[in-house]
Amino acid sequence: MQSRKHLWMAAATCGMVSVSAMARATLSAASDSHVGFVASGPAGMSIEGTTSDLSLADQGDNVVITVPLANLTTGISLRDRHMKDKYLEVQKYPAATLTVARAALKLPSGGDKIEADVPSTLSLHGQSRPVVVRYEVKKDGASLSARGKFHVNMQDFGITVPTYLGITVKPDVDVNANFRVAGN
Amino acid sequence: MSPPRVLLWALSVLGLLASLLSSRDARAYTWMIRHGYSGCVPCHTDPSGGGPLTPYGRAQGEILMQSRYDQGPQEEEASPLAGLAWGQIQTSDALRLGGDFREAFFSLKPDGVPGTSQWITMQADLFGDVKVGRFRAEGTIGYAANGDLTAALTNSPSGNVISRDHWLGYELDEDGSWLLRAGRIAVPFGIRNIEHNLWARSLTRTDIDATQQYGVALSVNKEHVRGELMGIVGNFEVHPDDFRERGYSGFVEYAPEKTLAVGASSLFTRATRDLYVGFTDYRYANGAFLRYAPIEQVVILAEMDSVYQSITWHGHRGGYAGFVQADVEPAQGVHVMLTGETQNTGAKDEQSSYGAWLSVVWFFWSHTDLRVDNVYQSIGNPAGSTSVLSLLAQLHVYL
Repeated sequence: MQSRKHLWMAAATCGMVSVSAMARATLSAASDSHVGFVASGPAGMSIEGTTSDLSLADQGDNVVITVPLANLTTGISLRDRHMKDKYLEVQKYPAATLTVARAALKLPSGGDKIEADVPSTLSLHGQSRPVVVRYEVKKDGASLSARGKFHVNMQDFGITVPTYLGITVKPDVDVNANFRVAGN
Repeated sequence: MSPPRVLLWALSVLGLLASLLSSRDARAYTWMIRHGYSGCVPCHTDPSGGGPLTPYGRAQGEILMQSRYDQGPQEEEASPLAGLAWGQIQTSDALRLGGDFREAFFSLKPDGVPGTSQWITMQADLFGDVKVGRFRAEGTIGYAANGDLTAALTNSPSGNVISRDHWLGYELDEDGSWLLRAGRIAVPFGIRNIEHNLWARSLTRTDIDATQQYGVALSVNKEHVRGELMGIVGNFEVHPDDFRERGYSGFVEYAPEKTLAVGASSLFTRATRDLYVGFTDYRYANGAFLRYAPIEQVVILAEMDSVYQSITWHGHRGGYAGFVQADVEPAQGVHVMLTGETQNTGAKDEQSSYGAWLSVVWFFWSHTDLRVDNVYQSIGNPAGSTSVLSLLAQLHVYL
């Protein structure tokens, strides 16, 4: 009975150590990335933009996700040029970054899937604002598969509301991203 | 061939000839879904497609539709040529004007009969839309050398002044998503095809050529859902009142993605004396349709409708009409379209009809396109079927 108790305590300790180890694992090398946004115009008009450029840096206390905006596209070249040159001013502000406190992130152990909200800081167009990211992360072999979404108002970031020939885009934009990241 | 068979054959061919020759109001391109435009409102004043172009729609005509003779897609602003009358006429944003003109060469070759060919003016319309606050008013005026009698304001067998649609409207919300209209309106049903003489359009009587009706219509355009429901009070260009249909028509379309939309349509009308059969006719039509762009270069359009008629002294008949069309745009401004269609009106002993279209459209310059349709149709009738080959080549110019 005493040996079984010791065995149970040892197993629990190992489990705690493994969870702790995963929480402390260094995250690196984002791959299979897809970042998108959905904006809307009048009477149901919808504009979707995407890019596959995303990098992740584990800075110890913070996880920083960087999305270069140069290759962001909505499928129509002139609209892309307006978006990048006139509104996002990509030449001045080439990337958007999302900074998440490592301590606020919950990462899975075993086959669990974690779904949670995490407060973050979005830096876009030279402005930084807090956003709440709804994220989901699960183990995928030796990697983690993550997806997240959040909502922004472009005016909060000093971005002029786009308007073109009588069509005005609404300032509220939904952003989503998914990627795989190695944890080691 | 016996006299009744000769008559049936002649009626089939004349019907085809009349449908192909009648003017067409082709101001809606449903394949724009390939660019993520599942709805019509950004480019058109009619919430379900067609009507005068908005300034945004004019710009898209140059940026997305017109052939480009230099390298790559257009990244520069739309040129002044994209404006009204190639930029020569300036109007305020509240006033949207336009015009459509089509000249065509038409050739028809029924099986076993010498072919015929002629030049025809298919369309000569002017139109305008006014927006003051949330109030809207729209109207068209044109000339039809032949046909389009159900849109004629004058009363001659040919050479009439016509008005395909004219209505007053009010936007119920700031966004313009909800529009209430009253007047002569294109009947909302199915895919608003350019090819107004597809059997799905003619059997349901829902083309944008001359089947508009007077009534009240409420439309909605949201990000994933759009639709319109119309209460039909009749076509007041048709006399006497016994010939006017009353009922409803509507559709709803859901777009789960910006390049995929599926929809359903429903229509019911009753006429004391139906314009085509001469007797009291209850007409029901229900159908489903699809628009899908798996890649930007390819759009699939498909529709299948059932049509049921209850005709006094002639009993009931249940029929169908449908089509599938693949629009391939190998280079911007050049469209190659393959269309297959089928129809059976449900008349006693009628054989089903089948048709195949090979069409090419080239938007070769600002406000201008050239279109060629090669059509083979096997038109069914109780005596069998009649094969007809036709060629329609048309030059379209819009203001």
